[in-house]
Amino acid sequence: MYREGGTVLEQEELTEWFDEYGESILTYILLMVRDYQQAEDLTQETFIKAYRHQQQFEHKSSVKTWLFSIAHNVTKDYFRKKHPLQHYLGLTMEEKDYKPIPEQIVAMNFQTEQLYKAIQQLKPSYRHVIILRKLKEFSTAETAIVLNWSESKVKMTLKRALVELKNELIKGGITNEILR
Amino acid sequence: MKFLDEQFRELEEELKITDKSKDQLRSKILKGTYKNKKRHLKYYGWVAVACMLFIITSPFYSTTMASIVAKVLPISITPNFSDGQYNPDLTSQLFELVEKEGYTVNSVGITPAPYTIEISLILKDSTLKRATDELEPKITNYLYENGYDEYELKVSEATVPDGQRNEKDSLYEDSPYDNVREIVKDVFASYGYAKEADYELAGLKHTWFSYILTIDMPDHIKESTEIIADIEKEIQSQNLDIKDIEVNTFNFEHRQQDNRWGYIASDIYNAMAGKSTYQLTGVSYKVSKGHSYVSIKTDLDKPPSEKIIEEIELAIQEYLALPETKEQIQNDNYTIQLLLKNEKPFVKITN
Repeated sequence: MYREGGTVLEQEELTEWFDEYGESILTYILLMVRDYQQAEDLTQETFIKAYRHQQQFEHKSSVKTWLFSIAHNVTKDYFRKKHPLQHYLGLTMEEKDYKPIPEQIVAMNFQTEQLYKAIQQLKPSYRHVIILRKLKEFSTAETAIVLNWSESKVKMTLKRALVELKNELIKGGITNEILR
Repeated sequence: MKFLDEQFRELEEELKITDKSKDQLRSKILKGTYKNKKRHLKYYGWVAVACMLFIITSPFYSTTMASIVAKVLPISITPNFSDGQYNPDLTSQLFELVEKEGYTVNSVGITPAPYTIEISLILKDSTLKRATDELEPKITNYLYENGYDEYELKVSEATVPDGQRNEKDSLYEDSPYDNVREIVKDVFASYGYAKEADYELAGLKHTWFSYILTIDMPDHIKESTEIIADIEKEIQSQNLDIKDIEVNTFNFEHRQQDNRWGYIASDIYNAMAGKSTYQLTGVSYKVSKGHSYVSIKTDLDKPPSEKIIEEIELAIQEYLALPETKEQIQNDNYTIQLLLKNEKPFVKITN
């Protein structure tokens, strides 16, 4: 007999997942959507979706990869709703305004803040791949699963994204010499 | 790019959320799952009666009788579902209790090890201090009366009013999920698979432009091709935004067994958690080669007294003998164990 509602086991698992990956997923989404409140809502949506679909998790990938895949889809969906026309036409959604670091973030030194700002200026596909590969340290194969891309696309996009990021940092006053 | 790699690591390390914000988010998520649960709890009246009966009949609550039972706390394992209805668990009971005191509850959540009860309130005309002062004695008294004596209680104020975010709570807002879920259920039922249709067989995957419907197909269904064709037709007639259907087969019996034992494991754990005699730290279960294993973990270094072990065994046997539990177990072979801290079993019940 199937019953909805969830068992204490499922809720325990959800709490464990949140404690282990909640912050990482929240900051991934924050770097993508650049609005703390929105990031919090989308993180909540990610975990509740994971809770509802625990049984569909087939352990083909790690829990972390699975949760980030959900977070990625939730974020993508958010952009789709926010910019339906650009999305439909396949245009990128660049918003060049800089959003200050939210008060909910503990603290950040000057150099990392410059990097945070520069990442925000990149187009979403570049942001996705840089955050997953470089900040969250997913492998190329795991990133490909999360983004539903081929591994070669991950590699190629990362290469381009890093060049673009370097340009953004130079524009922001970080010298080429420092970046080497 | 060496410099950049270090910078990335630093940024990841510095991207830390304040504890307060983390707690708020955890509470919101728990609230989300609680709401999901609460929708299915329809009958509450009997709970008061059951609790009263428990208080009256249990020797633990009679000062004279208490000396006779010599501190062995009686366990009563209640099936979470009996007589066609859900039996409210502790979160639901506390939710009701606090609301009866005139407060608006944002969420009630319980996390294990240490057993922590978190109650988040939406305060209008009261301060958190006043609410805590008023509620804490009532909650602790209720918990004491129900045998809970080892827990942490956290009462907090929800920062976001409930109503503001209701729309966001809808997971598939603007998506065709509800419609496809109904279609899938109806089509399966029309082929005589109503029992299978009770499981959540439909899922949605997002793509940039549309959705992909995923269907979990029980592997004993022979008419799977016809069922998918019918679902496809119905989706087209309703003009839903679904571009493709993906079908994954699974063994229905295995999933059913897994599901049933999830509830059994929870029932046993719930009856003993938060009570110092048993020192529970967690629960796990698995179904392997048709055999179900439930492991209740404790923080005990050595086995408790024989009296306590007897009490646990008796409570579990009584629970297993209930008609509703028998219905859950069916013909499954099972092993239920309580484990010491070093994972050695000190109670083992098997059939």
